[in-house]
Amino acid sequence: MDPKDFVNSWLQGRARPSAAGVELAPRAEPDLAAKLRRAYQWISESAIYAAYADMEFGPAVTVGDGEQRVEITRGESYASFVLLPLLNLVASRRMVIVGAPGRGKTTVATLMAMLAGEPLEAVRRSIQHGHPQLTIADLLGSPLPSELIRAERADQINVHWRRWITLRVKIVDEYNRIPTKTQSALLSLMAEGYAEMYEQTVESGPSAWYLTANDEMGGGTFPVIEALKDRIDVVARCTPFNTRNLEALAERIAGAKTATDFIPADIIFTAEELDRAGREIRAVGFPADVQDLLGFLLGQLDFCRRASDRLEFQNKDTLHLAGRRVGHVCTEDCPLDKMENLCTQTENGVSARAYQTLIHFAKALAYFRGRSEVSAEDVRQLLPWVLHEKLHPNPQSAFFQRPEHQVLLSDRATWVRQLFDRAAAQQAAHLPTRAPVDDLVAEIDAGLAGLTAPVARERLARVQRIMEDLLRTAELNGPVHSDLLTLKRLHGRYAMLLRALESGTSL
Amino acid sequence: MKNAAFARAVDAVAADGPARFASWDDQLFQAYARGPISWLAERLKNTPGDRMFFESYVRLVQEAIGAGYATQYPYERRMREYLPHFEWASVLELGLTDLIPLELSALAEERRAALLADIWNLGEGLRHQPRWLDRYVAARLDGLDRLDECPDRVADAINEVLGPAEPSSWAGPFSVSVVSTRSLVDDFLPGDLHLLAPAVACVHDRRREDIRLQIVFRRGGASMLSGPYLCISEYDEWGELPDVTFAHNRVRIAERHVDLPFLSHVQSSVVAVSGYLIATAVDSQRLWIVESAK
Repeated sequence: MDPKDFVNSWLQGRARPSAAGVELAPRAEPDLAAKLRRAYQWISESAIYAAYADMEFGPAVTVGDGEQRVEITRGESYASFVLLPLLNLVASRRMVIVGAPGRGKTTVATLMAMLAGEPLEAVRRSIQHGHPQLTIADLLGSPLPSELIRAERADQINVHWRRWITLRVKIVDEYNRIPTKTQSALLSLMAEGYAEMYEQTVESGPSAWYLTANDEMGGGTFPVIEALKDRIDVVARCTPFNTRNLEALAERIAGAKTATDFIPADIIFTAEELDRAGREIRAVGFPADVQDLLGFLLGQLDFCRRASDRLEFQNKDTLHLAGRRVGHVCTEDCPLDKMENLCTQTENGVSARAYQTLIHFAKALAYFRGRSEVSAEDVRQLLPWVLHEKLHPNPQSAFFQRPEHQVLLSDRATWVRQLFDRAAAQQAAHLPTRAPVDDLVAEIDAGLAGLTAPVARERLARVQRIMEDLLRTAELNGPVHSDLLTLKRLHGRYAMLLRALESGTSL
Repeated sequence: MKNAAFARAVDAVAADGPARFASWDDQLFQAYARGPISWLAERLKNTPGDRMFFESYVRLVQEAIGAGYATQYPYERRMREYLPHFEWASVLELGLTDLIPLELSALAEERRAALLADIWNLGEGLRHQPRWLDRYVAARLDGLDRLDECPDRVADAINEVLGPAEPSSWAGPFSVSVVSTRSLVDDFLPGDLHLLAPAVACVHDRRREDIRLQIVFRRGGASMLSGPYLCISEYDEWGELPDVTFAHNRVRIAERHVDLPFLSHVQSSVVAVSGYLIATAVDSQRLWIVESAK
């Protein structure tokens, strides 16, 4: 471009002379991740005073030792209590914020709704407060009585849906106080994205859900149905107030101000911006090595060698369907080392839904950090909050009997991170064992077209030989179980191919 | 501020700042209020449209602070003489802290709004360019005392570095300037060199990928070193380049020898058709800039 054209294009900028002097058009926001970081900064410094940065990046240095140690890092660090709700907003997912009363659960959710452009008063009116008498009609809406009388058919009844259903940010306060029947109506809305009544439906549209719940000490009135719990993607835990911020609280009292008085205009997201951020997040890369590491960890959690003698049924679901628990079989009878193998630590595995959630939130975190692809560190930082309520420890495991491990039963976040760190170390050690399996997978991924019967026969024999080597030289633990399943799948495909080639039929 | 209407406008903008911008820096705004805003108030008072132009300017200051465009504390011109390393961070800051407060009142009333808008637009446009360019143009505008010349001066400065270069005959005479990169980055170790534009070169740090300095070629040994910034891309020049051969403490350019004091072993060099040669040494933090007069 000619330098003069540069200057001329700049002169056509957003400032214009006007009758009132100079008028400035609003600034376009090309970098939504930067806007999100600005929002994080403002909330953590001016609204919530989040003193506990529990999501830390970069190599950690340990100061002190034993029980008296602190880990410090030179990388970025964030408070999960602020960051996770922000990621939930731009990823349009569902989260629960747990903690004792007065710790800011509803405040954080309210701030998220305000970030989505809703005025404070409207947010307050839209919050659904859980209580034991909450009915489906209270939650979703109802027809006017006059219409019920006039209507001759169900499709003539106009349901007056509650406004909150179609809002971008939906807040359900103290959801564990909602009666079970009403929880089911909430489940449909959360899971399917619509509500139905009198043969009429209402779509909730792209939404970010914020549920709040008091912790176990606060108590819920009704048990939360499992299906509803399962739909909650991530958990944020409120942190205690840090007394260093007392001065800020004193200022609020003096000025009669609250954390939700206002949100600066330049961090409010329009619906279009939230949609665009959502698309940009999904486009963030999830590299194969990070996928492998995640698979290596989560694959082990399902495995239970004592559940069955058959490879396919060696998982914790087999045990649970038989009414047994991991603690019943994870004893000295199982030869696996309880300090090394991760399968012993958990009562259950992780669902495909949780995998997807983890990948989506990891992308959102990488996006927030200005990265084009997810790193193992992103997954490590998110894992505790996605698995917080989904992964249950097996307290009978010999692993937890060690005094230095007992604290992990009360600190679930550190426990899950420890699982990840051990998996990363094990994956590196397991690489030579897995290499021949990976070679076979690469071979089959290259395609089977044009393969002759002798080559298929040779490969079939090779799969079987590697399987035999594996069973002879390695202990049947989670990673080896996964390799064996892979080999069995490859064997099945080559066997099918060979049958087709020998009989002259097509696959 | 003596003028009550001006003071009210400043207070209103200060109160409105945190509601508009998450990164609002009230201390910086107050520094502007004590400095450039009050300088402009003094000069504008009792001139036609004084309140309107004053309020427009204060709103621009608010936008610049809120958007993170303005970060440097404003100093008076006479104070800057005592700051040996003072450098304008951007044209927008130069405009808001110096050009507008001191020169706006000298303009005819009907030109003021247009010039305010022009300076904002030029400054914001340059903010979206590589930072070396913004700094370079700001340095070239420093000392400007006629606000209405600003757009043309910006165009001239841009043309100097991005416009097509006049090819040199490499006939000399040659002059050499030696600059130390330590003045900008204490432990900078000059490495690879490449052109960014016809009259701009980029030098990379040998150890750290993210640290790069820029050299804008200027005649008469006045080339400017600035940074550290990112370099976005390389510039491929076309045109005939002379044969260049380095020896101990000297270089032969198109059959002419030029002394390069202290340069023992060359690390990297780049030649621009406009008549400049830049070299780095394996054992030095210096840059050698050779300039052919013709």
